[in-house]
Amino acid sequence: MSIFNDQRHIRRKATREAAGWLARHETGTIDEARFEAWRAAHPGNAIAFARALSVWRAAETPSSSLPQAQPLAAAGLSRRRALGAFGGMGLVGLLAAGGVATRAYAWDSARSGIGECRRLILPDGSRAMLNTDSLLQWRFSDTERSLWIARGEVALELLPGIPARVHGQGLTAALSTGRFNVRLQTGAMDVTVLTGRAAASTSTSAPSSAIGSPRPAEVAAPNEGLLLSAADPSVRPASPQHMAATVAWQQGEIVFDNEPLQTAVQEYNRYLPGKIVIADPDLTGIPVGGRFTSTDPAAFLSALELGLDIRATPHEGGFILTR
Amino acid sequence: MPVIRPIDIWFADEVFPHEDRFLAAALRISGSREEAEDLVQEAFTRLFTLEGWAAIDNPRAYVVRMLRHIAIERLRRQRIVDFRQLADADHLTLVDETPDQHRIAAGREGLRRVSDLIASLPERCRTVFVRRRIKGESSKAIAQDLGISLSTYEKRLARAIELLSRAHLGGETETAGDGAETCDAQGRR
Repeated sequence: MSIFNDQRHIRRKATREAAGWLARHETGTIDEARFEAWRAAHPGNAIAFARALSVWRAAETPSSSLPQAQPLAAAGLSRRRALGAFGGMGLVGLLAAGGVATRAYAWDSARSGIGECRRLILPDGSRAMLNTDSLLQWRFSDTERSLWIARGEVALELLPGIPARVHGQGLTAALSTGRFNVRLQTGAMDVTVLTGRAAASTSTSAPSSAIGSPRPAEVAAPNEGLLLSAADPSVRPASPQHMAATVAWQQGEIVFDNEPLQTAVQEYNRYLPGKIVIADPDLTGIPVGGRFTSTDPAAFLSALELGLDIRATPHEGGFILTR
Repeated sequence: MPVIRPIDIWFADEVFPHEDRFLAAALRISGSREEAEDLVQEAFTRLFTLEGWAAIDNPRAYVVRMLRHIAIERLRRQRIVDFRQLADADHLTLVDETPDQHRIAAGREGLRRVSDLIASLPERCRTVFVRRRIKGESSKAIAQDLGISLSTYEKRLARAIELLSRAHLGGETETAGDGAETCDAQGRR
């Protein structure tokens, strides 16, 4: 099969050369005539260049029309760039009549589509990762880092700094430095603590007081979950299985731990544009478990068929489950 | 002609993100991974020369159809008719949503997310890539700040792009992978 090995070698070379051309373009040193000659020399070159462009564009991105920005200072990002970083995502919340660029307290937001996972860097260098179908808004002032989960689920990695609060469904949690998973449920917000502390907070109370003082009942420590709802906030321990399931999505996986099929399907459907529907009501309670790729239910449906004799019939982009 | 043409952007945003599915579809109708890659490459080649590309409604479905046509074309030319292969080609659905046994069996991850791959770039390459692409700093400013020549900066950026391009599809060398994958290929600083 030496022909194919040659093809691979040729493609690798084109990939390397295309990367070089794109880098030169970005550096401003490209010789356009020579580039055109290279691109026209072989169809594989045009393809390789478009592929290089594809990964370039797929990287988490500022808009290309951004003016040259200053280097990121440790203390924070210029407002203009914080806003421009997610240009096109839309600004929500309060906007002064004086214009967005100069407004100190305007909101930024980021959104993920169904089955999409997005990583972003917040104005202070902290990181956020959006799970499927999620919407995060934030506003970092001089005194507080405010985050709003409008939809879905977000993993946060907060650097040390001014107090941080996360809001969702009218509920508020104060977060210390650390790593957290925050998920909106109906009428509730669930904060899982990986490192650091999370405390229930009202919008008006000072967040630091809850974190620093001896632990009242509503402060969650690592491997604990803080559940906020209309009822009193509650802290409960998270099993290793639960912790694994909580972070699995960051690796593009979904973990079921002896759950009814209906719950598992509901969870899976968060990631799928074409939904799975259980047609036979007798199937809804069957317990299922396992670890699967979140954006592709193929292995999950196979397992249902082989292990539980449940058939998945493709229908309108999704699947119907029957016996 | 501009360096980056409309068709390049269309390819980058509408075609390449589905490359894993194209490969999976091609795998179902061809004998080997090499043949499948070849099939997809041929489809891309034809797509690039297509005049009416902008009018294509659903690029992903279009490419899957194209793969089928090319595969049948090749089978006919070979005059070796493997009925199994033809039958599989017939069952290629337009929108490739059905469970893909080949992909499961081959353990393919599908497209890796570029943002995840960036984290595993060699450090020097990652620095220039992130500062240029994510933070939007000017190339000159980055080179100056790092104390390197523009040429060195450019080579590191090229290396980052190359590693990302190769790792993107999965099944190829990891960005940090096989011994030779250092940032500065000739050990330059």
